[in-house]
Amino acid sequence: MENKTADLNNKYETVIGLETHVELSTETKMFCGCKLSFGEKPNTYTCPVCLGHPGSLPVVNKKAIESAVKIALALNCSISEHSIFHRKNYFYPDMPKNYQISQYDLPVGVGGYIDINMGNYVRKVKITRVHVEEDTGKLIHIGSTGRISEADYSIVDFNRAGTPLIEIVTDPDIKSPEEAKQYMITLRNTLLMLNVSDCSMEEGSIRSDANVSVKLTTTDKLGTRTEIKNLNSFKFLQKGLEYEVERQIDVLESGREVLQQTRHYDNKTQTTKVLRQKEEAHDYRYFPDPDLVPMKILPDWINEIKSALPELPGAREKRYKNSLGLSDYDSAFMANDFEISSYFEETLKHHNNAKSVCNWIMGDFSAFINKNQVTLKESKISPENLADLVKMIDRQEINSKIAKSVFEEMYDSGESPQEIILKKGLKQISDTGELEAIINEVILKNPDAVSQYKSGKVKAIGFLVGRIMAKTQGKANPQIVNEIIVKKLS
Amino acid sequence: MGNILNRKDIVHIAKLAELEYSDVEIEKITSQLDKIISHIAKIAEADTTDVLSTSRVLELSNVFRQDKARESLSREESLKNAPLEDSGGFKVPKID
Repeated sequence: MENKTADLNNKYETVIGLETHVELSTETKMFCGCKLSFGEKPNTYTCPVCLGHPGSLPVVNKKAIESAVKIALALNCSISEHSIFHRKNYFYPDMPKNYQISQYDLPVGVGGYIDINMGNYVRKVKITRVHVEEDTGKLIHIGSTGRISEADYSIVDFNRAGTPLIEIVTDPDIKSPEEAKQYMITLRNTLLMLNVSDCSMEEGSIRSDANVSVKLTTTDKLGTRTEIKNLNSFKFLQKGLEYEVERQIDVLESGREVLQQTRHYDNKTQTTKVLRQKEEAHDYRYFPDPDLVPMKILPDWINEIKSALPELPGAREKRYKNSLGLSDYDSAFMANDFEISSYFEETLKHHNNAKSVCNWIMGDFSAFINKNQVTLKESKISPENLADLVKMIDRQEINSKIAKSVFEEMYDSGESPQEIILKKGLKQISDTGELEAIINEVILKNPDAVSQYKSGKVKAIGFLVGRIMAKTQGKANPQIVNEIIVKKLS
Repeated sequence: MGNILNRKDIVHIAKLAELEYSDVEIEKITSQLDKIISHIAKIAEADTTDVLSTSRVLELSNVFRQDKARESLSREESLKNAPLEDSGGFKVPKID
């Protein structure tokens, strides 16, 4: 069975293109001053513009265009100097105007790419276009199941209608469901760094549809593709695509043809089902929106936006490697996840030992949060407290064993390491007077070890240090203890 | 003159616009619309080699608003023109 699967995987190649929609986190909608909202009472954030009342006129939100330019630049696109909005016409009650304002042949950004780090190779995914449009309203289907097919009627909530939406389309460059997932992760982290969207997958502020087909390895001709919807988590994206690739191969292997369809991923059954066949109604009759004037995105404006761009994951990874001296693996780990990277950066502001901070985040900290299934941000340890802990280790105020128990306490209580050390009396004893008294006592009580040392068995000193550590519950500064004993016994 | 649009085009356009016509009407509309379109098609004869495609006659560009919120309508006002309403939403017929 496994061999058969491997054979089929060699016989066919997977071709995936993704279309990702991102809701911008502007204060207001794309074409009117209604506030963006989530989870509010239906139809409480609407106005004549986003309700499509006759005579109302849309006006472009400048910040949304700036965000679009930011995204396009981060994805290495060229910015169209001349960009306009089109009307996309269709009959569906999720928009009150019977059209959606979108972009067609003159989008804000075209022809970019993003590098996807797959661990042992890098996939360059070309970005076809980045365009601006408005989100639709929300439909609630009333019936026994809540599903559209079994609904008696539907109700429309236009609160979301008109939310600025960026569509990012890739070329069919993605070669596996795993690459698709990694693309989404990378794209999301990039968008989070740009601070243009909250990118919440649960709230649907970033969502992807996939175009997927399989083709014989021996030909360049692409197979018939299907469009998969409802891939609303990284896991579903990968699982849904895996299922669909397998399904298409099965269809072809049984001598049938893959039909051009839109399919819906059902995460309960982990399968895809037909939503609709490609039909002639897929003709949106785009035409330039006469209510909106063209945008001229000129070099001065682009440069202004460019100069305000934050450091992006790729550049950050390089800096960690070259300036902070982290290994390849560590650099990628610290740079490519927005949350981890922000935490790392914040910690470094308080204590600039990149290597140690990185080790703590990747080691003990990751182990704890993985075990408890929380994120760094949700944990009780603030970057400042982690920095203080590492600082104390670096200054040899506590040893690594005590540091671990302090860390555990920090994780449970959220207290600062200073507080915990004070409360539990864990502070390292570096006071020579105090240590000398203990050392004298240990020397007196262990004449055998002392004489062994004096007769040349240097290792015997380890035994004495061990006794001292035990007496101080590990709090003695080992380096100072060593110095004092050597002095005393020579 | 004529023969830019045929019967098939008209049926397609009617379907996209969710309009229903009888065969006789389709026949009539095809011939009428074809005449109109053929007449307008004259414009295609103009030489536009060095002319940028224009979608508006106004010399305006970059008309923007700042991202500042203002009051929205109350729900009552929003729903005032709704033919039917339910649970604070616009009620629409079953979607096929």
